[in-house]
This record gives sequence, C-alpha cells and structure tokens, in this order.
Amino acid sequence: MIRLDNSPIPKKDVKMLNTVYLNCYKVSLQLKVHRLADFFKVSLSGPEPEFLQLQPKQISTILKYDTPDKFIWLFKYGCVCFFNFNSTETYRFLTSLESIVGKVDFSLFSKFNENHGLNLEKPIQPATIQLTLGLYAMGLAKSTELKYLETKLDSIYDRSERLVFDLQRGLPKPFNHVLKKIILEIVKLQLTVINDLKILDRPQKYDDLELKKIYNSTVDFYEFKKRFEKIQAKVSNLFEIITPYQNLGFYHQERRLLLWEIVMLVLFPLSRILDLFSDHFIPKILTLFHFL
Amino acid sequence: MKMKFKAYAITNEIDLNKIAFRCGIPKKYTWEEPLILQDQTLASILGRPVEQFQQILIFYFGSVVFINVPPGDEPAFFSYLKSIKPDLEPKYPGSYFDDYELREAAHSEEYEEDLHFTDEYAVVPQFQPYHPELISVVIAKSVALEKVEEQIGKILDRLENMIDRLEKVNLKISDKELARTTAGIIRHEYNTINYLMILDKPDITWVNSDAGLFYEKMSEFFELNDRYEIFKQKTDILNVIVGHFTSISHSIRGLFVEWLIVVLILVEVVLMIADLLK
Repeated sequence: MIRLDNSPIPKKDVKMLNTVYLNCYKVSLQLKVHRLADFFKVSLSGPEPEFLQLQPKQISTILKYDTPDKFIWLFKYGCVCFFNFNSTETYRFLTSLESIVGKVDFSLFSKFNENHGLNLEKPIQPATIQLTLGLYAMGLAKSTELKYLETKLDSIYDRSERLVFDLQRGLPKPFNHVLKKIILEIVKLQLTVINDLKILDRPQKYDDLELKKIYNSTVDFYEFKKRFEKIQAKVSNLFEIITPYQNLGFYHQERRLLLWEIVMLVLFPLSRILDLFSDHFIPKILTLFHFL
Repeated sequence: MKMKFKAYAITNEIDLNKIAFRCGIPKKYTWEEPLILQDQTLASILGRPVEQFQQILIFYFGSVVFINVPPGDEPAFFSYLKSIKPDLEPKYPGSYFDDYELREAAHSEEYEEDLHFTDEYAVVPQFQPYHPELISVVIAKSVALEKVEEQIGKILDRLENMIDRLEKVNLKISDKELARTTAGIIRHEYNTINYLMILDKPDITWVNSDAGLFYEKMSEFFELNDRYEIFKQKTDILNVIVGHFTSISHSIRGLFVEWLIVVLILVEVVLMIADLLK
C-alpha cells in the first residue's frame, strides 16, 4: 500500500512504514527518449512514448555500483523523476546524461523541481514499481512541467503589457516581432499542455480499476484540472489583448494604404492638366514675356 | 451464466440498410438503432449453425460488437462486411477494440444483489433482455471514441508542426492547409456529436427505469461523458487556435492585395511622368 497524501499516519502504522522520496526535476526543454532508449538498450512501448523507465540494472551501469531499489523515469518534455536517490547520485546521473542528450540546463533544474514522500508499508515489489510508482512519477512530472509552463505563461503575460502600451498610444503594429513571438508561444504552450503533457488524458495502458483510482488521486492531489482551467483563463485573457491589437493594427495599415491609393489616383488627371498647361498656358505666358 | 462481448471500431460510418438488404432483413434502419445479426442470418454469414445467444451488432458509427462469437469466426464476418463496404481497412481486426463480460449474480458467488462493475466484467442480479444491447451500445461508443481520441492527437501533431514552420515564415499559412486542419477538427466534432451521439440514450432507457439505471452506470463506468467533455475541450482549443490563424492569414492577404494596388498605381504614375518628360 502506498500513501500519496501528507496527512498524519495512524500511530499503529508508523512502525511498519518506510518513507521513500520521488524527486522530479526539469532538466531541459525536451529529452530525446529514443536516443536514451538506444543507449540503455530499453525497448519502447510505442512509436511516440511519453517516457522511458530505467530499471536498477541500467542505473547501476551509470552509478557503477549495485542499486536494487532505485528507479528513474525520463519524460519527453524534459523532466526526470528519481526514486530513492540522494543529491550526489542525482547529480552524477544527470552529468552522465549530458553525453547522451546534450547539456543539462541547471537553471531549469534549480527552479523547477518537486518532490513527494511515499509511505511504503512493505518492501517494494517489482510489479508495484512498474505500474503504481510509474503513475506517481507521471503525476509528479506533469506537475513539475505544469509549473514550468505556468511560469512561462506569466512571463508572456508580462511581455504582453507592451501591446497594451502600444494600444494606449494608438500605434498597434500587427507585424510586430513581439506580437508574433507572443502568439506562437501561447499556441505552442497550449499544444504542449494538451498534446505533450496530455493533462486531460489518463496515461494509456492503465485501464486497471485500481490504477485508474491511483491516477485520479494524483490528478486531484496536484490539482491538474484547476491548474489547466487557470492556464486556459490566462490564455483567453491574452487573446483578448491580442485580437483587438491585431485588428486595430490591420485596420490602421489598411486605412493608410487606402489613403495612398487616393493620392496616387489623384495623380492620373495630372498628366492631362499638365498637357493643357503646356499646350495653352505656357505659349501664352511666353508670348506675354516676349511682349514685355 | 456469462456473455462475452468484443467490440471493434472499424470505420467512420456503416450503411446499415445496405447490409440489412443483403441479409434479407425487411426493415428500414434509423441512425439510433443497431443492426442485430442472429439465428439464420448470422449462420448464413458465418457458414455454420449458431447458438441461441450468439449475435453480432453493427452500429452506423462504424463499430461492430460480437456477443458470444468465438474469435475464429470474426474473419469470416469481416470479409463478408468488406464485400458490402469495400473501403474497409484491409488490416483486420484494427487497433481499436475492447472486451467485456456480463455475469449473472446467481452464478457468481461474489455479488448477489446489486449491479457490480469491474474493468473486465459486469455482474447483474438477473439477466434481462436489454442487457446485451445496452452493454453493446456502451462498448461500441467507447471504442469509437477511442478511435476519435487518437485521431485528434494526430491533428494536434500536425498543428504543432505547422506552428514550428510558422516561426520562420511570418505567420503565413496557406488556405489549403488551414482548410485541411479546420476540416479535420470539424469532421471529428461531427463524428462525435452526430454519429456517435455520446449524449443520447437508447430508447429502452426511456421506457424501462432499470434499463436507464444500468445504462447510466455503464456509461459512467466507461467515462463516456467525461471523455466527451475532454474531447470537446480539445476541439474548442483547436478551433480557437485555427480561427485565430485564419483571421491573421486573411488580414495579411488583404494587406498584400492593397499593397499590390498601390505599387501598380505607382508604376503607372512613374510611366506617365516619364512620358511627359520625353
């Protein structure tokens, strides 16, 4: 039996429990799961796997000693979950990871990390690790990634203030680079939340009733639904700023172009006016000058 | 006593009337009811005599449910179906399927009174004539929804690639690509709402309250409504994104035309001035 919540443990159970920790870190924007699977010689579950799970045997090849009760989950969106690792072991594993998937971003690592204590009633069985702990790791990784995306969205929100200033001055620029970047970042963020992070979906191959319950408990615990709704609310607020900005910008440019068209069209009768001027008025003026 | 169900989502739509005509069933099928193949009709398709509770239910939204039909008989049915609907995927049995079982409490020692559901079987106090049809409807909708869910994932992937390309080309998307993505989203919404009719209940549930309760519990267990809500949320997000890009693309194109007019007029004016100066 594994407890995820932080509620007090009943006194009679205390002696039996063994607390272990799941630590999750954001180490890069994305991890090449296929490359890692090739390196560790692990077969992947499908063509687009969400994560790669490393067994004690594979971990011991990196740490160079026997690790019977350590597990790692590497997620394609750049999060790594460690089970029963201390900080030295974590650092050692991550630095060795650099040779396979490129540099680990330690600024992300220090900012976006979460952990959770699990109270185990008895020694861990391999089958429990495969499924149950995997679900907890998945919940923790989703929460860590969501934290990163929430921070990113906040920074987009801050930058969108410039658009409000432009609007206040009446100078919206629809081809502005800032605007283009903001739009693409918002859309990418939304797609990451629903397609990569799959925040609305339960992981595949977890159809067992008990596993469904565990996953639902992690969804409630990490408040995925509320956080998703909050992200959606912020995104729709951003679109409420962007849409009038762009519309006004396009109208403004269109009006300016129409004005140019009018000016140019006015030039057409000019040739006839000049012709008339050269045929009738210039000879008369010249005659007048000559007479004078 | 047990009843074994196996559901497949094989296509988007099946013309039930065409199959009914071929099978000699003198009935006009509406979109709400499944075509039930049993007894002599089923025996003629499978090429062997069938037992009392062996049935195949075909749904207009592209799902097929086998009740108590051994897996060995499935290829014979699929080749029969392919002779009527040649555009069926050649790959049998397809990747979207689900198994379920119905058990009678009298024959199960665990649960004797109430309805009981697990991820593999349901236990009912006593078999009722509506049980097979209601279970079939729910699992048929569930597998069809699974197919739609996976296809929406593909649209999301396509959109993600499109966004990556947009970073390089100043938010310009071709009308063809926009139309294709929009059509994909609308097609899935249409399939789910109009074809699957996730939110609609079979007629029997309005007549018999026990049937209504059973259907409600089954659909709650298979999370049909929750999954539909999630699907709706995803398509809404996609619609907002695509709608936004459509309006940007339209505005960019409008401005381009305006610029072209200005440039053409300018060329005309320059030519005119050159003519005057000759």
